[in-house]
Amino acid sequence: MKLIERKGKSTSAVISAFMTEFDLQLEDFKFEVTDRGSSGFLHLFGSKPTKIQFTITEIRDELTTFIKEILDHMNIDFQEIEINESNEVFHINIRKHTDVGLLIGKSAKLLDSLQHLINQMINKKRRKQIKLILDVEGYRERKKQLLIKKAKDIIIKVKKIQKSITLEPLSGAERKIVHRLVETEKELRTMTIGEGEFKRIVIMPKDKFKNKVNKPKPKTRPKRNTYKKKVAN
Amino acid sequence: MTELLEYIVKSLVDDPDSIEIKEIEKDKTTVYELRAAKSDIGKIIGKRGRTIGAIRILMNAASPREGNRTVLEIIE
Repeated sequence: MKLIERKGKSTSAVISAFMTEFDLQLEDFKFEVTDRGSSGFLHLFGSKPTKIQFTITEIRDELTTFIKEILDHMNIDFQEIEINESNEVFHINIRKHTDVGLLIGKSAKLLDSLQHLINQMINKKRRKQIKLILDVEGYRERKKQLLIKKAKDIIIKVKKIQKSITLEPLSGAERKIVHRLVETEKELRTMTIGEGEFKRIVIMPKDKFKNKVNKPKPKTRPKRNTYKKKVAN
Repeated sequence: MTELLEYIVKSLVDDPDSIEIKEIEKDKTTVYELRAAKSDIGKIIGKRGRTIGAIRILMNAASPREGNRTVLEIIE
């Protein structure tokens, strides 16, 4: 947290000057008027400027407070919260020595819920949305490596048997990883089937994919006559 | 438990002052009745109920005794 002091004629003037100076929005800082100032006698003598102290609220501090408060209320202990920023994504890693599973929950449900809530809280008033990934003891990173390994095995298998293989349902972020991985393989293609939580990826050889694309499902039911003709053919 | 719910909900809404939480215990179930400003209810529920679902998961995880159910209801 940085403390910055500015002086000026009036409270609003000082604040707007401060905002242009640092290129900030109202939600990015807090302020306290330390000296109201006075316009002096007949605006001529002894006029004192208004003094305001600004503290720029850092996203890191805000994130730490949210997580700390929630975990404290849940009686979940932890050692440390590490926050790293790269490519405008905040990677938050909660260091916890014992009972890591307690914070991850069944199929990462608790961790995902916590991430969703922190996301909603931090982006409530922001025009520019912040992206964040919440992790415990590198759990997500380990999961990612495991998924990559699994996908690579399947890629090898698809190449070998020249038949498409359907993966188990994956989340959006997980599917993205697999799609990217298969993209590097020239003779393979991916497709997504299913809806909502049950979306699955199909990895298939290139020629199989072409067949599927060339035969799209008709959007409207063909007219009875044409249908009959087709059947006759 | 009420504090957890209160903290989360108040950080989510625009009008934290109109948040009211009532805790009702019925043998093995604890019901939390949540009241909020009309304009904030959508924020608490979230797209496809994602936010309220996340709050419910957090509350069940924080539930102190095994076999104790917590129910969260939004009262309009």
